[in-house]
Amino acid sequence: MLLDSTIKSLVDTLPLGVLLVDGELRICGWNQWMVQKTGIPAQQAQGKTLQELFPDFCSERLLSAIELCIKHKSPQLISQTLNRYVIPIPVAFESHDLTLMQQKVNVAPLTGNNGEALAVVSINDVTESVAKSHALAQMAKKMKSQSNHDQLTGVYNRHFLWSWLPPQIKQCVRHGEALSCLMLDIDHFKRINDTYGHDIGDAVLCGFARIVGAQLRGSDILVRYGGEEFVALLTHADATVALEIAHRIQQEVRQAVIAPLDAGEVRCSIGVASWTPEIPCSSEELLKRADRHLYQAKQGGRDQVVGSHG
Amino acid sequence: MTTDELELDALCELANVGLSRAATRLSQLLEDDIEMTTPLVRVVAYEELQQALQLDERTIIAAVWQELSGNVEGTSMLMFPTEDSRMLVQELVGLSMQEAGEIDLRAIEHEAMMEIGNIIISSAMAVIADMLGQDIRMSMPHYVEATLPDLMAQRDRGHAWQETQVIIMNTRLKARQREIEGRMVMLLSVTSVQLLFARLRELLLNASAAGS
Repeated sequence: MLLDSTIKSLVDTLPLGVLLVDGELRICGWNQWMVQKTGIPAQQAQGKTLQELFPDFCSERLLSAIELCIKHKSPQLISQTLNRYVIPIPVAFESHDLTLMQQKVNVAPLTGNNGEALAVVSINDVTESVAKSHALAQMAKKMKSQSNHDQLTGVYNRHFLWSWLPPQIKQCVRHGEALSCLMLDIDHFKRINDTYGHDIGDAVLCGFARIVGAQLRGSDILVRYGGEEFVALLTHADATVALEIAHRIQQEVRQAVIAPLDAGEVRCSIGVASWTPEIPCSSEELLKRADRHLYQAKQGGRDQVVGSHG
Repeated sequence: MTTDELELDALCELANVGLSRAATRLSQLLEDDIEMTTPLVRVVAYEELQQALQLDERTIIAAVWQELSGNVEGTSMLMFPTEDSRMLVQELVGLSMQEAGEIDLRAIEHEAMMEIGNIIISSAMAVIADMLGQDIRMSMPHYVEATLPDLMAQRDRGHAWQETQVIIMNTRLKARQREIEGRMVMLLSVTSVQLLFARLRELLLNASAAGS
């Protein structure tokens, strides 16, 4: 049998709050954890009720759990989910927005030395896990709203384009590198959609994105800009390189079979614009220039590349 | 064992008092109007449980249970259809899939269900123990989502239960315009059931003596 003093020091070493409450809801036990976390010494807690110690706050649930436990020897679980906490203990972490310790509490019946009914309240600090799950939930929410990819084709979306391009141009300014922009549009896409239906239309969009993507290099990016319009951004590529790649894409698209369409049924127009140290411009201006060239390609009869050297 | 309708009625009455007390406690905790009633009480043998509950062997149910010891031995268990309990908890806790970011919802549901079940079982058992003047002790609650056979296997782990009889109380829990059918099931040793019904008969006799 353990001695009372051994049990007392055992309870004091536990990494959780332990307090003992009698039938009149007065505290008759208060371990070292409680002293440290609440700043209330054991002598001061002794004989007081929880209401007296925490006048501004009193958990009805805790009181009713203690009552069920003492009167009916019925253990009670007080979850963080439904209660958040039972005793207000401030926590100060820079890393999360919780100001009070989140607690998971057990109330269990105990018989005292003289046969009196007592309740043992043990408090687990679950603040860290709650903060973690909040952080994960926020992250998941953010990821959902800021997803960088187009759902249909899997290539990047506009949102990503605008987070990627401006810093990229800054880097071009710093290092004097070139960057080119291709604006691509599938010719007569509306006709394909009307003739074959939207499912085939979607398949053409996916096939087109795949063919274009295959012509790009690892550091380039492909973006679905809207409807049947795509943007390819080519790093370290001046107008000459960009035009070459654009022509290759045009050829590949012409030769591709995108079921059930035969080779040659899908064609595209491409406008090319380049950023170079000699002709610098903003991200918006670069896209506008590519768009102007795309418009010229459409006006010129489609299925062609328009751009200017240098 | 003979259990006439009067005794079952009295038990039903007891369960109603216990569950309405549980509802009051839950209403306080969840700051919402919660109603609980027991429309029907039956006693069956343990072997007939599955049939009596009309549960398919593969149906997964959500259950909270506490072991009973002292004068009454056995298990007090609360069962809900899994989907219903999930919906109920999500509404009560004010969670939506989006808010929670689809993360950790199950852990949150389990924790909440365990506390809700703990409150219902202990409030009901407290009334029954008081009225029948019995000393009933309870373990901490357990929560499991499983089929009935798996559930029973888990409950039996580490115990050598005597042949058991089961008191089944169908309950209805109403909250937030939602109503879910639940069952409170008390799996008791035959001697415990006999003791309970003997006490019920005494109560009924006293009541009728006082009434005449």
